[in-house]
Amino acid sequence: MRVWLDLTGIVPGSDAALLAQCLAPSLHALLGERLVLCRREPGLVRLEPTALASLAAPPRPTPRRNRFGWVARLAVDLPPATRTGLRRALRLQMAVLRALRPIRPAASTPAASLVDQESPSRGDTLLMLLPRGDVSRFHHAGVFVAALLAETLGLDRPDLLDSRAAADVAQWKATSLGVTHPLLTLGEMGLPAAATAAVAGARTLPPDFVLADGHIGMAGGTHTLLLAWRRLLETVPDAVPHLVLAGPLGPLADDLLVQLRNSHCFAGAITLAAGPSEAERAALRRDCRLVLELELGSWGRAALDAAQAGKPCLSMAVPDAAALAVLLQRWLVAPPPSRPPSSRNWHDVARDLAAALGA
Amino acid sequence: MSRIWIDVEDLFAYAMVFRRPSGIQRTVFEFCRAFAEHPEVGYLRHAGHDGFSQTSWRDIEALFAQLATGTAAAGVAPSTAWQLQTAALRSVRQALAGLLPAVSRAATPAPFSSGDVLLVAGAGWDDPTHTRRLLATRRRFGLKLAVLIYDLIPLRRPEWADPSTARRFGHWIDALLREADVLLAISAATAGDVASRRATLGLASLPCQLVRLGDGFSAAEGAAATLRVPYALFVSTLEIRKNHALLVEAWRVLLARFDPQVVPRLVFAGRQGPLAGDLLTMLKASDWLGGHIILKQEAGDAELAALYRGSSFTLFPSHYEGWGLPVAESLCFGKPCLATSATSVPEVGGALVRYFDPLDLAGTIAAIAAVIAAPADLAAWEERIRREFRPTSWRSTAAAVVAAVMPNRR
Repeated sequence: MRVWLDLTGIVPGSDAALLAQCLAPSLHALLGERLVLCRREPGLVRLEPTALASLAAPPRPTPRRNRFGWVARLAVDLPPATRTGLRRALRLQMAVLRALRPIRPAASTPAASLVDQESPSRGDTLLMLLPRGDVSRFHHAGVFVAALLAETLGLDRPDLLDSRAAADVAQWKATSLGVTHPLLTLGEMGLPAAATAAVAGARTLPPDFVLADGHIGMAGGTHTLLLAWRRLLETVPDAVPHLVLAGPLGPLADDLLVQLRNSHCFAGAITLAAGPSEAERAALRRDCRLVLELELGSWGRAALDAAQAGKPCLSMAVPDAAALAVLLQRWLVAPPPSRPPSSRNWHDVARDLAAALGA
Repeated sequence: MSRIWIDVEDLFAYAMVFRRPSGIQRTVFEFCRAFAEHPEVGYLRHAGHDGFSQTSWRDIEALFAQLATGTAAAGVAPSTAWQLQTAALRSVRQALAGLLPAVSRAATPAPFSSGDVLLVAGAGWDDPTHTRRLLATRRRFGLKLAVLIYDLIPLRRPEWADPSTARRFGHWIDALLREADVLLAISAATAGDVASRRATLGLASLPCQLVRLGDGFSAAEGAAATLRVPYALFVSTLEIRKNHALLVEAWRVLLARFDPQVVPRLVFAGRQGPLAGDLLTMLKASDWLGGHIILKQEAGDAELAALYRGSSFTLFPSHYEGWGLPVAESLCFGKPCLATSATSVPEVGGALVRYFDPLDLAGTIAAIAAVIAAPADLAAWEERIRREFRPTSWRSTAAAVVAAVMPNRR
């Protein structure tokens, strides 16, 4: 009996990606060749172990310089009606281009690691880390379908996912939820902090900063955090340290990024570290004063990592920006003592999971 | 006799891009309408390199009639690639057509006299030649420069403004703050922001005279109600500053907490503005909260009036305002309003409006839930508005402006 670890739809740098990277080696140590990495296309396609490496966070985009400043300089003396008309035309033309191609490339596991396509045998287990798509046909073929979900956000708030992921979750709920057993979430498993690489050179940051660690976007509560941070900057400016937003860009982040760009990151009060490597994340955790976990409905990885680094961590699971501002102000002005968490290792997790799967 | 000249070029520029007027355009139009009774007031469009030509109230009225009915030049809001491409080409054609009148108008300069007042009451920052034109004309004819300031939001909250807009606004308002002979502000909150900005610029204190805007607009009468179900109304451009997201979250909680049958629909009336894309994507993904949120993007004045009349109550959760016209409109239609406590809005509604912190979701939900749960209280509130609300007329606003810019006029 084999366990097919399904990497379908996992975005590089995401929590699910990190879970796969941390869990697979320990499962492999237990199951040996009975662990198969795969993705659905729609049959199961076996992947090379190198597929795990491709799930690491993608490199950060480099800032682009404005190559069209000379156009703006030429336009300033045009009559306003003409200039606004031309500006609208330019915006519309850019919208045409955007409409013709997606803003961000769809996440996929690399084709280079694909080795062959084969069918799972009756009695095999298909283990999913994300609730996506229709897997009921595997159940009907005698394959056990199990899930260890890295996040439950898609089940509660599919509107916070991008439209394709939301449709995949809806399809999974409609077709596959009933045939998935066991259905585990990370809260039930109790996971250790993520393994992190050696600390790399940190960015140039002020010595005192707060780290917001997790998904940048609506699903991470980043919009709420910005509103709360703006209030703190207005009401207690002297007590507010620098803020570092570190994590992969999630869906529904475009308006947030535009706000940061427009305000020059709140006049330099915020640093955006989109898609940091694990080493960078570790360095940021090491040097920060406090960690804010940018996750709604996920497994609390940032909190675990922060605890491992000996840093207090506040969850974004507060009702609103006003409450968050009050909470932050209390922690920034007079932080209460926090206690260290208990810790586990990935081998224990893999053992428990294998037992739950009967593997 | 000295005259007051109002620069209305931005109204014409705006109508080239948008179908429906927003707050400043409505305000300038109502000003102009009220000023039409004052023979000493004239209207200006830009002409030539740094001059002005006179235009008539009739031209402005005709332009605004187009905006009020949504038939201005800008056309429908495009969505598909093909519509976007067609709209782009149409904009180029309109932009090129805009060159001709500017050249021809240069031949008929406005008849300025020394001592006249040049009143800036619109949104001139989009034109980088605006301050140069104003100052050259003031110098050439010995005019007095008066500026009516709505807000300093692009400076106070740059995250909500395109950087080029914020930069142009900053240059424009700073130049006017340095050069103006008379400063007018539409609220104490804005006057406070102006004082703070002048201090930042190192300018001596110059009292900012408050002008209370008229309440409500000259809406078309007789339109029938457009919705047959109970609903709460939020009239505003869909943009992040207006804080639609707070109401979406509030409605999500209310629908979970109450029987959905007793939760009124939430109607957003306004065109899509900047930084609303993520919210709209989320709303579409949630099927507009199962149909409980309704978007009216292109409501004309008549439909807007009908929406106000048919609403159970109105909402206005904005993060930052210079005034808060929808709050005044709501009171004009006799409708209770739950509004933000931020910036100028309490100046508009006074004791007739209930307020909440625009960051406080829990407080907002409690305020809305209290209204939903107590229809008798809502009726009593509505009755109180009918009894106590005394709208400010645009005529008195115009008179206050004249008194401020021409204090010696009898």
